[in-house]
Parts: sequence; structure tokens; C-alpha cells
Amino acid sequence: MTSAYYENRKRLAQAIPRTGTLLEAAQTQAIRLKGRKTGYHEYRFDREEMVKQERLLNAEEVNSFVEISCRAGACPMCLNIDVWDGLLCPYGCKYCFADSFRATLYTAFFDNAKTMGLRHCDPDRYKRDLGELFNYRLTDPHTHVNPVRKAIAMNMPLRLGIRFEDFTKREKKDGVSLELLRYLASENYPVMINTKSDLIGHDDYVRALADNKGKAAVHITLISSDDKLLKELEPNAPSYQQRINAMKSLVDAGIRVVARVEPYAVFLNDDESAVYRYIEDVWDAGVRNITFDSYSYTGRDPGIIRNWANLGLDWDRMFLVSAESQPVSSYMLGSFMEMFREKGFSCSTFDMGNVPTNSQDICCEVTDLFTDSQFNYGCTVMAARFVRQTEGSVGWGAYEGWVMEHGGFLSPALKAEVKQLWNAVGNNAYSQCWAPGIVPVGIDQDGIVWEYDSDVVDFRQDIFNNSTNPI
Amino acid sequence: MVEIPSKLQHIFSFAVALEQNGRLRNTIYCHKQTIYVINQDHTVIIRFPIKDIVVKKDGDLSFENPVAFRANEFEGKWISIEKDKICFHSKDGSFTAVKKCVAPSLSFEEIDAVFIRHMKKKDKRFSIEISRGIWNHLDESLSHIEFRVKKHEWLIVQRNIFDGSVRVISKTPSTSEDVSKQLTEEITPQTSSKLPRRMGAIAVRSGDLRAMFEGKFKGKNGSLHLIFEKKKPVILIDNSKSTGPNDPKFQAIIATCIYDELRGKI
Repeated sequence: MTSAYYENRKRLAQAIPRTGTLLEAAQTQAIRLKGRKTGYHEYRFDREEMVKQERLLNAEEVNSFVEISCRAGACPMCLNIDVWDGLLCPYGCKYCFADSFRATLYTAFFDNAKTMGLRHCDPDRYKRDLGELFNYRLTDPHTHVNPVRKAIAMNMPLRLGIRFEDFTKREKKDGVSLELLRYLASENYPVMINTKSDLIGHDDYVRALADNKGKAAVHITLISSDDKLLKELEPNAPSYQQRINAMKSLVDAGIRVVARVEPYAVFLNDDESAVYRYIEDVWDAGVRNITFDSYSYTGRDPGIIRNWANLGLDWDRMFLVSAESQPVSSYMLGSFMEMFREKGFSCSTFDMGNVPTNSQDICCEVTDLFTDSQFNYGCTVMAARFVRQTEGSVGWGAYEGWVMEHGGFLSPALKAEVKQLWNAVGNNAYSQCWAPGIVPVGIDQDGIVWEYDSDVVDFRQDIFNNSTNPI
Repeated sequence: MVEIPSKLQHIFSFAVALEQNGRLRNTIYCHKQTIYVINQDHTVIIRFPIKDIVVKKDGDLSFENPVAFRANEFEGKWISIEKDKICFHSKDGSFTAVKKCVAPSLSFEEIDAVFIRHMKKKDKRFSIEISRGIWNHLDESLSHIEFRVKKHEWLIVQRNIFDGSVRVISKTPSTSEDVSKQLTEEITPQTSSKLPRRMGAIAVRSGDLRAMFEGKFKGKNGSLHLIFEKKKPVILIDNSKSTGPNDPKFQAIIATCIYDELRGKI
């Protein structure tokens, strides 16, 4: 099988070379967080004594577990719930920046963060809080100001596993997430899980998901079929075969499984034979939906760069072609996804450059599953899809009307953010303004008027071809 | 405790400056009459001969035993050496501070062996002279610089994968005398006839090459002699004939980049 993707990859390799070194890269220590002073005391004149100054995090319990994602301006599935938390994720993935962000946040504000271990939400608490929220379910979303209540009113699926892995070995022992899944099943509330764990394929969990008449979907992150690479990059995560087996168990029980290739990174997890094996194995497990994303620009973190250097991997090249050079990385991702579509998979991505050609409206590949739910239509991914599917030109007014028909914007602040992005103001990476084929055709009282034109040359392809042309 | 000669201070400062210029974090290795500076990514080694700078006399500075330290530890002109560690001394009124630096993991011998191995001539060499002015034509923000030979002429290429443009610098005949003259001054091939008819791309990271010009402290018009040798994974840089008062003599090797589709190992 010869794919256009590997022709592109070959061309890219001739334009952006790998770093050569004179000596093997030196192993360096992990970056240490300075954190807060330990045992810090201040002298209080009023009490004439030294007083210990400390702020302690509740190391046993997570109190805040439901939220609207900070990426809701672009994300159609933004109702997050996480019942587990910790300073460090037990899987220790070398490309993941969540640990680093959490560590910065927790160690900067709390004195006990370094010893906190894993903590979880009290099941009685989440059942009580969710029970209260579910009172708003299927009520008129326009009557709510609180964005979480509004999302619940829209029956928007709850999404586990965005902030933390909810299916660790501790979970196997404590069953906190399992109890949540059982509770959601009893409430018939739709749920979607993001995980790398094979625990989700164990009978109890499969049953809890299969029993949910509100429907359930599981995204299993699996970025390669190369076990050696996975062991390097995700040292403590379940093996390739364990995750394939989990996929199969879930599919056999009638649960929607979406394989998740995130991050996709050129010259990292796109080895030809490994990709073909992946396609075969995931297909044989019964999975028909895959979601992708290229490496996150936010991932440029000193700790991650050092992790890569210690593995002897070329961070600079990967980051340049898979994140920093937005159009080229998006173009490569698009051609990568085509390989999977040729096999018959339904493929979508959050990468705006490929949103117009996504197989489904919801980039999590669950549009056809959660048919009794509304999603966050007031976001730029949905804006791009709306423009793509509308005949002729589209102004903000038409888009806003469409969003209002589907439950409205989750908050006024979110509406303002999406409107800015609609007009190409703000972080353009999340704006439909750079989606290929979506072109400005005019201005009205609300800003730019857009139109989808499939005949417009894909600027990403132009950039790719020009910059990789032989001299 | 001895005072470091000013030229040696310049070399140490150069190594520190490299760190600020891009993300190079460097290590300095000193032994007898040689100093090596190696960057953190191990893509550049620079060798400074210090024969004329450090003269061993009783009570004077010498590097009889190898010493090494991180460039960013460099702190002041007063030093002493304890076994393989360098100590920086600073005085302020009645206070004295001593900073004992940690020795890096690699040894002087290891760096020396790599450098000498790459410097040995094994095949036909050809070269190009580039001046600081070349940076008027190059974009430092782009990741790589390619050197190519086409029809016996040098081409310097940069690819911009952000906007698709390709920058090609060549010494082509031009009707404009000014442009021709400028390029002739900035890219002076040894002679066209010595160059092969064609040479595929040999690339280095832009930051690595840019850093070399930091070594030419005050010479605005100074140039660097880049030497290529077939099948060698490095570009050699020869600045050993420098005569500028503040332009230290040095030789360097820069690892060339690899055109393959592998993920590593770097």
C-alpha cells in the first residue's frame, strides 16, 4: 500500500532535517519545581511569636469536579467531569504537559502538594451535586445563566478524563469512577470517557457503560502500535495489546469506542509499518471511529523538552513540523487521516485546518451516537461546520440564530469570545478563519461574512509544496 | 588564587554569550593550552588554543590538570583550581566569596577525541567564506541553513515552512554592480573550479551557525571559513588565522543535520 502521506513525509524529511550530534546527548535531571518554602514561619508582633504560614490543599478529596472547559470557545463537547486528581499522573507520559501545569499550579499555591498522591471525589458528594444538577435536565436551556446548568439542560454528555486519568490502578481498588458510571447509568445520563487505561474494558466497567440508556462512548488514547515506542513515551500506561483488548471488550458490548491518536507527531508515531498494523488491529477490534490531533503548541514546556532529550528524541524537529508550523502540521495531519479513511474509518479532528473535511460535526466522533443530546454549538468548530454546510455566504447573525435554535451559547462571555474568533480576533489557532475553503466574502454589521468554497486552493498544500520543493 | 588574563575572560564570556544567544547552554573544558566549549545539545564544539594567553609561571594560572565547568557559572576574574574543580573568588570590601563549580559529566579527553577525529582530513575538502553580513540575507528565525553546490556554485538556502517561501542566496552574475559586489564579499567560494559540479544539501541549525559569529567579538566585517568534507557529518570552521585584536583564534565543528525520516536518536 503506497500512501500519499508517505510521499509527503519523504518530502518533508528533505526540507526539515533531523538534528545531528557530535556526542550522545547527556542525560539531565528532571526540572525541579522551586515550589514554596517549607516550614516557613513569620514573626507576629501582635502575638510576639513565630507563626507557621501555610496553605494546605485538601489532599484527600476533590471538591470541584464539574466544569465547562476553558477551551469551550472551540470545543463542542465541553462539559468536563473528573473524579480523580493528583500532582502527577501515574502513567508519566513524556509528551504530556498536564503534569507540568498541575505541578506549577499546586506547588505555587499549596504547601502540601508534593505529598498529596492521588485524591478523589467523595461518591456521596458527586451523587448529591449531580442529582441537583440533573433537576435542570431537559429544561429550557435559555432560562439558565449558569453554564453548567445550561449544558445539563441540553443533555450534553459528561466527559471524563480531560484533567486527569480516572481509571488508574487505585481506581481498580477504590471504584470511585465505577460508582459514578453506575450512577450515570441509573440516571440514563450520557457519558464520554477519555482514557489510556485498559481497566475500562473490565466487565464491571463495560456493564456500567452498556447499561446506560443515555448512551456511552469511550475514547481510548493509543498513539502507535509500536510497543517499544509506547514504553518509552508512556512508561506506565497499559500496553498496546491491553488497550486493543479493552477496545474489543467495549465494542462487543455495543459501546462506541473511538481510538484517539493524540498526539500525532510527524517522524514520531507515524512509522509506516506500525501505522498499517495499527489500522488492521483497531479495525479488527471492531472500532470504526478515530479522532486525531497534532502535537499541542502548549506542549512547549522545558520539562517535556528535557524528557525528549533524555530519550534521545529530536524534539525540535517534531515540534516544528507537528505543532509550530501550523499549516504544514495541519496539512500532514489531513493526509495522515486520509489513510485511515481509505480503510473505512470515520475520522475527525479538533485541528481547525481539517475541521471542514471531518467525517462528523462533533470532532469527538459521537455526532451519530448522542442523538438525544445537544452539544456546544456556540464554538468555532461548529461555526466552521455551519459555514461548510450552508449554501452561500454566512454572517454572524445566521450563525447566532442557528446556535440559539440548539440551546444557545453557554455564557455571554463565551459568546463574546466566539464572536471575536469569528472575526479573526484572538487566538487564531482556534478560529475558523484559517480553515481551508472558508473564505471571507464581505462585511456586515457584525463583522466578517464567510462562505465555503471547495474550489479554493488549500493554502496549507501550497505552503507545503512550496517550502519542500527541490532546489 | 590568580587573575584570569583578559583574553581568557573574553573566551569565557563568549561561552556565556552563546547561552544567551538561542538556547545553547555550554560547558567549558580547559587543559594545558586548549579550551573547548561545547553546547548543551552537543551540536557544536569550539576549540580555542590559549598558548599565547596563558603562560605557566610559578604562582600563575595553568591548567595542568583538566578542569571543566558550566559556562553560566563563570563569575569574575579571580580563580583558583582545586583538583578538577574551578573556584571563582569575588571580593567586596571585607567580604570574600568563593564559588566552587560542579564538574560536568563529560571529560576533556572525550571532547578532545571527538574534535580531533572530525578535524582529521580524510577526503577532498572544499570551502566557503561567509561574513557577518550574510545575516542581512538570512532569516535567523528559520530553523536551518542549507549549503548546496549547483553547477560549481554555492547556494545557501532557507525554507520557511510557515509561509512557503524559500530563500536562495547565490553569487549569480547581476547587472547591478552593487548587489554583485555585496554578494561577492559575503560569499566567496574558494574557487568555482574546485567545487564539485553538484552537492546535495548540507544543513546546520541556524542558531548554531549564528553563534559562531559571537566569537568574532568586534569585527563587524569579519568572516568565517567553513570547510566541507565529503561524507563527514560536520562542518569545520577555521578562524585560526584571525589577526584581529579582539577576535580570538578558534576552530569549531558543527554537526550537520540528517535528512532521514527517523525519530532519533539524536
